[in-house]
Amino acid sequence: MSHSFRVEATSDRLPEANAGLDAWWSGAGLPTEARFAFELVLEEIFMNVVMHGSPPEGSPCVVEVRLERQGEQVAMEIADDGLPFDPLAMDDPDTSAPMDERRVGGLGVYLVREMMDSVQYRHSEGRNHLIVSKSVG
Amino acid sequence: MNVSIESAEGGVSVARSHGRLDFGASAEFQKALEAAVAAKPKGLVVECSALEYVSSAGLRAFLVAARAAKAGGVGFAACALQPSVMEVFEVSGFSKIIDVKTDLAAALAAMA
Repeated sequence: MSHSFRVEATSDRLPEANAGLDAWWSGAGLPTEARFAFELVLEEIFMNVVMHGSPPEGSPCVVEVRLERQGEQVAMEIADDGLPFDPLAMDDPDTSAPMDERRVGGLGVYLVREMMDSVQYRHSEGRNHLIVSKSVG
Repeated sequence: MNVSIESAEGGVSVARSHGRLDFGASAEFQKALEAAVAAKPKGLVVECSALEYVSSAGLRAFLVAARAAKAGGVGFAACALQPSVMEVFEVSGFSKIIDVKTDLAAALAAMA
């Protein structure tokens, strides 16, 4: 059974996106401690869309989040109608660099990859789709 | 999210952080830590036992504050991280650039 909701991609709507995830998570009776990784992924990708997805002129794009549970696997698809952007094409940050040389770009996407079991990107029908999944058992 | 700064023994300041350190909270968190560093204590310990969540925006705030502390000759540490927050510190490599202690007593002892 899948559930979806849509949120306009502006930074002040991040709590609304998170509330949508939390409501579904609680309703599905999933373990609270496993929610963290999905909240993190949702924030990182949502904020990427806020920062880079909307054309400079015109109205903000819309993010659609779809959640589905299959046994102990939770899948989350985050789709947006913004500019085409494949976050998986970004270089990994150097996580062993010393403090003064540490760059912060790319850190969010790196966390997404590391915290999930699987991460896929596709661009279809004019939308970006990022599909992540992780076992919560 | 809220953060309160208090003085501990030996001229060390303690920043107690509560709740969620997400994009919306990171600017205020960073400002509070930078102000605490600017007051030139011997060290600043960020006490995280009530910190439930951190994203890359929150990590950036930690990094900016830790750099300001280093530049100002102020010690900097985080302590009492919840397991999920610790996981983010480890995955991102931040546990290698920020001194992470198990609890406040250990962090204070290291700065004494």
